[in-house]
Amino acid sequence: MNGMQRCLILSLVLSPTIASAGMIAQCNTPAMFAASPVTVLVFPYVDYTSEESSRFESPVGTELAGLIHADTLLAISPFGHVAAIRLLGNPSDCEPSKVLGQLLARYPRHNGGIVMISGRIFRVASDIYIQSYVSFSRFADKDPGEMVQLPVGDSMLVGKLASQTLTFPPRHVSEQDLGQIRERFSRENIVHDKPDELSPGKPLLVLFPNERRPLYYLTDSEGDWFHIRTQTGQEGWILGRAMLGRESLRNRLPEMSFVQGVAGYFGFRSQPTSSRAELATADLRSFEGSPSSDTAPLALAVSKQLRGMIQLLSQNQSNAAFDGANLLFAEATKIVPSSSNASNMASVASIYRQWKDPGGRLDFQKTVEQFWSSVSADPEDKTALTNCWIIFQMARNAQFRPRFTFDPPLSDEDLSRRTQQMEDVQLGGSRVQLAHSTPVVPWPKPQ
Amino acid sequence: MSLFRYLPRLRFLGCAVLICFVKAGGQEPQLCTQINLVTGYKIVLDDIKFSSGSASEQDKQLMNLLNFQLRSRLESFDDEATVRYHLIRCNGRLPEGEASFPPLTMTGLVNRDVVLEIWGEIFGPAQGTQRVFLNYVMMPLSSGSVSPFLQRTYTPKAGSSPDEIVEWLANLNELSAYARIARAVRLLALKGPTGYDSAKADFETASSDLHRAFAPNPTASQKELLTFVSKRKCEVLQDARTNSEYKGPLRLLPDTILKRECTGGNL
Repeated sequence: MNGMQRCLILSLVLSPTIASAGMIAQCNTPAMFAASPVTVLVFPYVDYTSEESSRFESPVGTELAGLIHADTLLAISPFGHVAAIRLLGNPSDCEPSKVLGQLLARYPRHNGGIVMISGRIFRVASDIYIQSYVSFSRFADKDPGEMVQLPVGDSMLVGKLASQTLTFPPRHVSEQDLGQIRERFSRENIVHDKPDELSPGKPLLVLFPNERRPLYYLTDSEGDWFHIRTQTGQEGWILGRAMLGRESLRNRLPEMSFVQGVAGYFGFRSQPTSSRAELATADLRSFEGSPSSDTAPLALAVSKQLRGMIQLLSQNQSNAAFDGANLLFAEATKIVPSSSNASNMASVASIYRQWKDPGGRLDFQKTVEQFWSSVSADPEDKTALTNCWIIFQMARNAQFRPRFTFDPPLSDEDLSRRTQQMEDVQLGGSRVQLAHSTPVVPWPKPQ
Repeated sequence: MSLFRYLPRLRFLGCAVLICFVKAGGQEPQLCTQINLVTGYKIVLDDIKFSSGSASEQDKQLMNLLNFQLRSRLESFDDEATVRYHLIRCNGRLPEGEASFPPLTMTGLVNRDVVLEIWGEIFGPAQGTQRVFLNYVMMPLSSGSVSPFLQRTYTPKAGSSPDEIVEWLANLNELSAYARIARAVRLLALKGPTGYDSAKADFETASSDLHRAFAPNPTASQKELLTFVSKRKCEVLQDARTNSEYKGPLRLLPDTILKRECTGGNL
């Protein structure tokens, strides 16, 4: 990293006026902004039309990624201190897990969110089919994932997302669309003097001579345009909104709204303001409302869960917030009924809502059955089992026992015996550790 | 009676053909002859062919798309970083139906942890629709009470727009269900009670996907498969309670959950 890059990164960290940053990097030498709370990595789409084409960087796949990159950067810039990095290279170098591993080895871990979008394309005559993959995590080793942590008594119930790795259904674009992608990409790669395509401009990469890494930050935006300043001290306006003719690329690839919603979630978690909550929620709603979202049930469920989590935090985890979020969590469970994580999160939020009512009492049998149902769906996931064990522990505790009703009645001996049985459970050949993992960014304690 | 016998007989090209092995999630092609060297569960994706006399541009488009989509689906349906399947792409192989899987062949494939094999045929437009036959063989089911062979007929509208084809392809969620069922059965056969947890999770997801795929009117063979999955799920749950070798959480499930899951409540 040279001095200018250090200076830029430092300014990204320190200056509240700098909103977002962009970068173009090679997959085999990836780079990122170390302090950004949200980083979106956009990988070139791989052309799977033939075995041969899948081995090399595809021009159309790279251009498509370029459009997604610029559009995402523009869309997420209101979240502040965010970065979108476009990666280039051969498919063998551009495997997301491999690139993330390299970044983790090279940069200090932090609690920022990483969203990775990659995909494959397939050509048939004049038609192109695009399929996207999205995954997200914190920039940490063995990230246990995003979770809600809700205090019940002296313990914490935990709910997790149904998945943080998602496959979207194929989308179709025509030869005409392809031409428009290329044409739009060529227009978006120009840095203009003004936010006007008729104003003088030059190609973005020309601003980075002597093989300097293309790296810039956003200082302003206006409509579909964003203003950039490069590490070489140059500045100008770039057209950011990706369009296919008169239609936004996001309409054709609704997963872009999902990506922006996830980036928004991370942006909101780093600075939970109501405006950020609204923006992230709007992107997720936009994805959910797209006509083809029901062909991606897992992503649809995760989108609803994320909206529920945002709603809880943006409304200070009030009763009303839980009432609204619980509906979303229940909807997610309905969409992916076999997901242990989805049903467990719905149970956790619903049980907590009852618990936080002063004088509210939980039906013990009904409560533990909710968790057992999730355990049955995926016995290998210990989250629901740990939640169930926590309820048993609470019921044994004289301080909390009055908060439960027992039908059928359960003696202390029964509770102790069953608690002990749970502690003796083995998963994968070893005795289960009935303790929740700690998220990289803890869930704020409800008031 | 199997529908396979109605399919035109096509030459089995199998052994001599160079076929590709592609590691799930990766792009490194390998020779299919290495199938014996690859450990772990495998899914074999054979050819999708035209029926005789049908090879219009539209058919070709559909075939190419099907190949793409099947491969995409099979490579990515495990959403965990730890990939548990290997996809074997067998170009040029087109089994003749059940006849291509005599008991010895089936046993050999099962022993090599091949859990699923898929191939298909496309028939030209008739009465406003195209017909696509996809054939699934869930190898480990060959020793059970249900047929390991399942044929699905799909009828995308003739002259469908690319967008309509894409929508149709996107709904092929059942692919992963077949692989999960086969994997669960194999796991149970290999590991017994120590495989209960993983098998139960597979059965659960598969059951949910298949109910959605077969709705609203499952055929007799589809009902048979759904019943088989429910039954195996229930057997796992019931044995988990009493089998001393099993130490997982299923042994503690309350009666109410067990009754709910075991349709018929045969406790």
